[in-house]
Amino acid sequence: MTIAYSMFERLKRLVSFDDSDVENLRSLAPAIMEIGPSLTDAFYSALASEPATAEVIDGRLEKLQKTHSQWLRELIAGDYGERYFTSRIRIGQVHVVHGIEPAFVEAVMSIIRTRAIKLLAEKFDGTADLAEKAASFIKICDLDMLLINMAYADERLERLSSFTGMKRTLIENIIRIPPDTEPARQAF
Amino acid sequence: MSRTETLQRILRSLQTESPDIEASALISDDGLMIASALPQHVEETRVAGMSATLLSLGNRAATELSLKTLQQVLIRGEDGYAVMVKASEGTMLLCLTTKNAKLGLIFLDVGRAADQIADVL
Ligand code: HEM
Repeated sequence: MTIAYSMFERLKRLVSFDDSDVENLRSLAPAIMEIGPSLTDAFYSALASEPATAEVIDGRLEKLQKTHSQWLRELIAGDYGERYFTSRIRIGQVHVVHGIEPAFVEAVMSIIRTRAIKLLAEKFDGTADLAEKAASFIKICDLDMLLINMAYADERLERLSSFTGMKRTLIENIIRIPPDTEPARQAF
Repeated sequence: MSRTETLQRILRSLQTESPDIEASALISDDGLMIASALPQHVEETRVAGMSATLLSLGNRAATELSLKTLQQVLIRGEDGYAVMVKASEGTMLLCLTTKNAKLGLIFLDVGRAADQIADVL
């Protein structure tokens, strides 16, 4: 893996994820755990409704539900250091191995974000600082998605590099070359 | 004489001594041009990227097919050949020849030039 923890630190600074967000997330923990089962249900009914993802979760549902609850618990546990970073990067790598399109992971993350906000709004009806807390929740979901996407891109390049023997720098250099305007001839 | 000039000189004399070699280039294994004696119409960046890719794949294929260490990658087109060999650690030599080139002789000259390049680097 070529993604350094310092990158996560930079991303946190960029989205201004700070101590107040950590505090907000910790304070949201009991409410999120309460709405957790409803989030998980929405997550899995979405996966079951799309043929490409339904096929992947078939026969794995129970294990995946446990995995997902664990992910949600860590999301709001208030510890966003190096251990957190490593476990989030791993999520991207695992999904590459299972051949899951990153767009599906993004789509499911959208469900989690929007459903959580809706349920929290219902729960904290009229509470003044809900907007602040919701913003912290969205930030950490976005940070997770950033790490998952980075890990995806990295893992794909790594596999290409290891299969072809091309150095990572060679692949990066080739990607920067503007495409040829001539139509490619049939290979064989 | 600078290192670049020396490398450039090795490429030029390879082409003078082997008239069937029409162009040559020294390329790094991350696909960057180090020195070249290529015709003007050739896009150096693309050629460097492609050659490094081919040699990397050749290396992998040689291992996968139990051929031991890769010695060269050879492409034959209607108009001639492209010969690619490792020069020094992390660099490769690309030579383009006419279609009637005597390959045995070309391999010898290319191998000699690669040794000279390795001495310089
Ligand atoms: C917000 C989106 C998602 C999150 C946060 C998430 C989270 C996770 C986590 C934490 C793991 C365990 C990783 C590990 O072993 O360390 C995992 C595994 C997995 N996920 Fe996801 N996931 C998401 C989207 C998806 C989607 C869209 C699919 C599509 C079917 C999917 C299918 C799987 C599968 C098949 C595994 C491997 C389970 C196994 O080990 O058998 N996930 N996911």
